Parts: sequence; C-alpha cells; structure tokens
Amino acid sequence: MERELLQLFLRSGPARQYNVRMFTAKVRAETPETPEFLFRIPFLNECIIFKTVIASEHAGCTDRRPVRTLIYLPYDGMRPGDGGESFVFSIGDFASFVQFKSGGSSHDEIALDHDQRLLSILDTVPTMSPLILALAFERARTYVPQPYLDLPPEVRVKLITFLKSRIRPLVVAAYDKAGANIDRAVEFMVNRLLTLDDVRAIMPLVQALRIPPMQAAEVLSAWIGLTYFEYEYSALQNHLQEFSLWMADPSWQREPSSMKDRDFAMFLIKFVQKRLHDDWQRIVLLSRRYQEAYNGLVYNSEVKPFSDFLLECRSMYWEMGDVLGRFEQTTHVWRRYKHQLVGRNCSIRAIIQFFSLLRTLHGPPPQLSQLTQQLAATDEGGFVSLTANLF
Amino acid sequence: MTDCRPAERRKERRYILCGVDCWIDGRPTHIVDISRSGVRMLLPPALAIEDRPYDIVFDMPEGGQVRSFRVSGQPLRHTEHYVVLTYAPPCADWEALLLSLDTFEMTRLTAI
Repeated sequence: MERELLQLFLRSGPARQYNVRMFTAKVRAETPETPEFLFRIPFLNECIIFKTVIASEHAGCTDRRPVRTLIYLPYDGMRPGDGGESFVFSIGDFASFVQFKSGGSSHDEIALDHDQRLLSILDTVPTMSPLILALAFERARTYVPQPYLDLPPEVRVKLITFLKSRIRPLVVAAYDKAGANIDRAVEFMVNRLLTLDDVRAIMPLVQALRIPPMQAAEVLSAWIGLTYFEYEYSALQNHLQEFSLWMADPSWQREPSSMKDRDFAMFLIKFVQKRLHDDWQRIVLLSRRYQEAYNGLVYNSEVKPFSDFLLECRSMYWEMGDVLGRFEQTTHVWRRYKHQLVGRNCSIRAIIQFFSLLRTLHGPPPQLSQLTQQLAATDEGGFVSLTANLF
Repeated sequence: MTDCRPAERRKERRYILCGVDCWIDGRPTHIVDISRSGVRMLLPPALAIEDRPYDIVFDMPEGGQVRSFRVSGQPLRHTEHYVVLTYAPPCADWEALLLSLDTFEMTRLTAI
C-alpha cells in the first residue's frame, strides 16, 4: 500500500510534488562547469519534496496548516519508486536528519541555516505550484536559482496579469474606504500587495480592510493564493467533468465478471464518486463566497463581508491546496489509465485496480508507522517525525 | 446603432478583465472594471479630467490575435485615483467579448 502511494505521489503534478532531483539533473546537464544548486547541503539536491496531509498528532500538524512538507530521499536515484528515507519537515527534525545523514560528523552551520530557511519557506505554502513558490521566495526576499522554478516567463506574465486584474479593483475600493489620504499610485500598491515584501507600504490598505496588522502578510498571501487556486481549479474542471461522466456511465458492467468483483468495483466507485463530489462541492461554495465578498467590497463598498472572508482565508487556502493536490493526482491517474478503461477492452480487473488507487488517494491520509509514533511520543528516537517507512 | 445610457451604468453587469491593454487620450492605463457602456480606469498621471469626450482605445486578445477598439468616452465622475467614463459599445457582440475576458467567468466552477 505504501509503495502504491509513493508511485502516486511520484506521478503527481506540481501541486503535490517539487522534484528537486530532476531540476538538479537539469542544472548539471546545462551548466556542468558552474552548476548553481538549490541547497548547500549536497544530498538535499537529490530529494523530492511532497505536500501531503499526514495523519499523526506527532507530525506537528495543526488545523491551520493541515498540509505538511515531506522530504523524500530515494535509496536509488535512478529508481525513486523503490523507496527511500523521508521526514516531515520541522526545524528540529531537519537538524537531526542532517546529522544522521552525515554520520554524526560536524556540518557547515551556514549551509544548514541556508537550507533550513529554504525548507521553512516551502513549508509556509500548501502546494508546490511554481507561481506560489516563486511568490513565497520573493516575499521572503530569498534567491532561488532560476532552473528550480519551473515557471516560463510567458506563463508567469499571464498569471501575474490575472492576479493583478483581481487585486486592482480591491485596492481602489480600499482607497475609497481609507480614512486618510493614501499618497501612493494605485499601481504601486497593486504591486506591493502582490509581492507583499514590505507590509509597512500596504498598511493603509490593511487598515481599510480591517485586517490585524500582525496577520496582514499571511492573510493577504492566503487571499492571493486562493485567487490563484481558482485559476488552477478551473483548469482541472474539464478533466474532472470528463472523468465524472465516465464514472456515472456503467457501460463497463456489460463485461463478464463475478458478482463479488462487481460488488467490490461498485463499492470503490461509490466511495470515489462521493469524495470527489463532496470535495468539489465544497470548493464551489468557497469560490462563490469569495466572489460575493469581493463584489460586495468592489461594487457596493461593503467592507465587513470581505474582511470576514479574509480572516478565514488562511484555513481555506490550506484546504483548497490539499484538495487541489488530490484532484490533480486524480486527473493524472485518469489520463494514465484512460486507454485501458474506455472502450470494449475494459476488464473488471482494470476497473478495480484503477479505483483502488483512487481510493488510496482519497481515503484517510498516510500515517506515521506505529514504531515512529512511539519513538516520537517518548522522544527517544532522535527524530520526532522521521517517516522512513512511510514510503 | 448602439445606445448609451449613463444613468444605467451601475445596473449593468460589470466585468473584471484580464489581458486587456487600454489607453485614454494616448496614455496607457489600466481598467478597474467595465460594463457594456461604462468603464472605470485608473487616472494616468497628469491627465486632467474635464467635461469633454476622451479618446479610449481597448486592445482585446481574441483567438491569439489582438483586436483594437476605439471609442469616445464621456467622464461621468472621477476621484484622485480613477475616472468613470461612459461610451457607446463599439460592436454588436461587445458584451460577449467582455464576458469572455472576465476573470470570474474564466474561473467559474460548476457542479461535476
């Protein structure tokens, strides 16, 4: 089961997976003389980073950030699907893991601080979508070598234009509501709000939108994240609709199969259908609420509904990030299996295999092993959240 | 013949557009929101708003090309930061074009 889950994660898109190892290989190939790597601790440049919910109270999981950052180091880099070592990121476990990998010998403190900072930034976002990563690094004013941000300039321009289109009316509405005159051009404020690299510069807006100043950067970055997620969800919509229609069409039942197999297949399908439907419905409602609050502020000068929405944004952001990851994985699995499932040659075995995978994906989140949890509970194992046998 | 009824602007559906370049009297600016016969634009620096028609150009992306529309806009009101102008829709399918570039329409989620 764990290996199946690993295979699923390795085939995930950018919402779930940040394949540092792949980017490192590209850097080596393109600049063999002067390679510029992401991390300063060499083995980290061979890792793959996943975003996932981990079902363990010891994984440092809080309600506000349900999606965790999991660093996975394959035993064999050529065959990452064969297993490896992994740990859920926390500052303490990162230091322990580096010490473990270096065999207890001393390590470069500057490199450790640098890499810990990078991983901490990655830990502040619920997905590995390139634009979300790029904005997170910009906000933290942290340099990342370009090959590690898989964001072609034209895509970046397109997405930034989209986000600015949404931010601009908001800034204008907030200017109208600001008590004091704001001596800044709207476009300056739009840019500051997008990058959020200087919270003091946007303080008049923060006050106009009634956001607690200490939470402003986190709240507004979550709102920008939600705006971006709408874009991502709409891009997935057609694939999910196609898949959903196929699930609802029971033509595969014409294939000869035993009652037992048929019942099991139906059980799996119903499970996946319900999870997809419920999750999607929740996202649609969130999206509608977003639009109503936004329109209320932009067109009717109603600050309170938008302000209330903003204060809830952070949890919505993490929820939308998690669900987006699962939907993206679902469409990847669907595209991979589609040729086996659609048409005359569809067997009940293929159906069961396919829906079993999706059940794993949409079922309870992966758990730390019992042994790891015991070690964590007694704090004798060295790693509070080392999940060596999660994958 | 298209009509333009300024008093009705706020009753029209408004759109938040993405990817549209626009100019007022030759100066580049940004659209805040737009309806079929009214547009709210950021005020370009040093553009004085008077009671006269302004030349507005919209460059709209359409099927990989850019289609340019020129209209005459009459100021309705303005603040320090933006100006609202009314205009006559430049083509019969103008509102459909606005709808196709609306960010909320682009990301509309429906039941699956």
